Amino acid sequence: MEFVTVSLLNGISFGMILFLLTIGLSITLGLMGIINLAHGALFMVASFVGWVMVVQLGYSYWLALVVGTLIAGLIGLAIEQGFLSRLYGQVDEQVLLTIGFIYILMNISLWIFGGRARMPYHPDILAGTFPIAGGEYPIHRMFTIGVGIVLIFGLWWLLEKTKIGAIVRAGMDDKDTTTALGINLGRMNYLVFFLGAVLAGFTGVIGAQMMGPRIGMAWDILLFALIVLVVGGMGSIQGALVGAMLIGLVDAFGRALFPDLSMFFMYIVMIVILMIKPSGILPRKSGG
Amino acid sequence: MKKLLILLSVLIIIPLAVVPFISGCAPTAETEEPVRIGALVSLTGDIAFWGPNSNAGVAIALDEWDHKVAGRPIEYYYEDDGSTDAVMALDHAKKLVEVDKVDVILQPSCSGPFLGMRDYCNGLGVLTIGQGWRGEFLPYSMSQEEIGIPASQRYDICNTGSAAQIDYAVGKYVYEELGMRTAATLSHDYETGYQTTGGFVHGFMDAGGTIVQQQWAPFGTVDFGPYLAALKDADMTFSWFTGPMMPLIAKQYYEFGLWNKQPLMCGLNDSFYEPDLAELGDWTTGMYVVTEFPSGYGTTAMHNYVSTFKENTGRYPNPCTGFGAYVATNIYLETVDALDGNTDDTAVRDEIIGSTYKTLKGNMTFDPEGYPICGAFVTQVDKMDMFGETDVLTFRVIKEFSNLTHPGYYTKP
Repeated sequence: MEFVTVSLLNGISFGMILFLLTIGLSITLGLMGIINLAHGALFMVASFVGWVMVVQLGYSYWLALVVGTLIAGLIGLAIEQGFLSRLYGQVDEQVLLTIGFIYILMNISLWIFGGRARMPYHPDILAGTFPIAGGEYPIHRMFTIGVGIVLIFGLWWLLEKTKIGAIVRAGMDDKDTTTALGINLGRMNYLVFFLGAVLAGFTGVIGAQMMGPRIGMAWDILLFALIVLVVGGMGSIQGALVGAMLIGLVDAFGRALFPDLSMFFMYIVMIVILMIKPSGILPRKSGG
Repeated sequence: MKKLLILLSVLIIIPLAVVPFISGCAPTAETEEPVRIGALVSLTGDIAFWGPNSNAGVAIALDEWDHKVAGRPIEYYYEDDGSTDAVMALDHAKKLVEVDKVDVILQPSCSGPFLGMRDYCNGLGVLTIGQGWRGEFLPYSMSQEEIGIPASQRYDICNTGSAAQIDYAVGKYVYEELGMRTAATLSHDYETGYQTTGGFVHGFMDAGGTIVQQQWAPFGTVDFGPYLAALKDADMTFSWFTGPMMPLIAKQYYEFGLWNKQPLMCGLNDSFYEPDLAELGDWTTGMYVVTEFPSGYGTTAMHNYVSTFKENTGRYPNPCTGFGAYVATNIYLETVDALDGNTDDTAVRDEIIGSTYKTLKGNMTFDPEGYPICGAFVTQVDKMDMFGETDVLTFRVIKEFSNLTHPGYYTKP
């Protein structure tokens, strides 16, 4: 019982991080058609910013969460406004550009912080464990699950129940008609891109509780996000959630039960989904 | 008169114009060909902090030699190996050999880059010396069979010991002196993981212990929760990961409430050092860590080296290359000095094999298989006052090994 319970919690907590990371990428790609591979680098930057604030300067983790999130958002916006806005519809160029920004951000981080990986950090209130099913489980992982649940509902409410959300969905479904109705999609694009970058940054500081900031995570975490995007489907919260949970749980149970095959599980799931349903499990359906 | 003036001008001016040029070309005094030391160090990638530490160690060694050996000046060239980038390591090895014309290369730290450049260097007869312990160093007796070249064409030297060599002795120690009877392992799923863990497992089992479980985690693992959920009960857990993963797994091991239930031992350490322990905190006290170079080891040589390193860089040396690059440089320069400045690769290699060197961790003799017969330490994390600081979380020596020999080459079970 302990093994099953702990593995479930492992899968869900890791899955939540994947969901938070991927949803920003999914919305950006779904609305704007922009593939922002620098998403993982924004995660990394926020993670380091949080470390500086909490570990080096002794500030509150919650303040670091806000600051790290905002900084990632602003960097993302700068990339979009200064560069990506000139490359709408040019996928190859977007990929090359954002890969370039991965290297830029990684090397700036290397220059500032050196190559040593930093340790995971979290607020004192989330330190420690609580007893569950005869064992113990880290409190900060439960917090991550809780944050993920709140954000799921928050994002759903934003996209489904607000005017802004309606515009975003309309833009994803039919750009031309939306523009013809006099809606300034350009301004909406900036907002959506900012939201995506903010989510990357937010996840970076939340994820730092488990992983700790390091330079190489810009690539590692991007790979996870892309796998979830492919599995879940683009442009929908439901798709990102299902994809993330599926990958998280398969990975958690797979590694625990068959550790020798650890490096394959995520990719096996992705391959199967691509063969059965190439658009992903729950992609956004363009409506009338 | 005019013709005389022109003649005089030619006889005076032209020689005056040419002589300096001729002077510049002709050897004015005896100029010695420099000894060129090359190194592949990690400047980018996951272990990018090792590279500057390697360079700092080499710099200290060169200062101690006054940048000269047997009357020849020393030049140092280094290139990036990308931490785990075999292609980059090979490209840069070629540059060091073909452009910089180095006499020796300090090997990359990680397996991939090392294996990427090893055969190229061996094929050309370029001597390479490790900057720290190696996992995947093949003994010379295996070379003909396993990698298709005879020992005479091997020019790669394993510096400071092999993973299996040290962790085998640790396995026996854990059973015989720490009293553990069962152990679980959780290690990195690649060559060096097999060597470190294989050494420990065989030593432990040969002493009479039982291994209840072996788990392997691949590169890129950030969440060790699944492995910890599946971890079987045992007297202790032996774990080895390279780079940033080992401190991560120690933290998650603690967070899952296993720290006091099942002691964790970090196999041959290349990850933890003082800044990491300081960040992790006091709960790390008591963790067993196998290491080659504990900063607090009480010898004068170690004290002087760490003091100088701290003075020059403001930090402690990292446990692998921070010390190993210094040791490797000294081994090479002592050998060249003994050969009166001869840097011929075959001559230097043959001189090293069978020779004994005094190093930071004691005497080291290279056996015919290319392994150094050397020592290592088992430590426990503890607070010590050292180098002008109080309560530094560091590695307190609880067991010292000497004259360790290589027990065998292990693959994944």
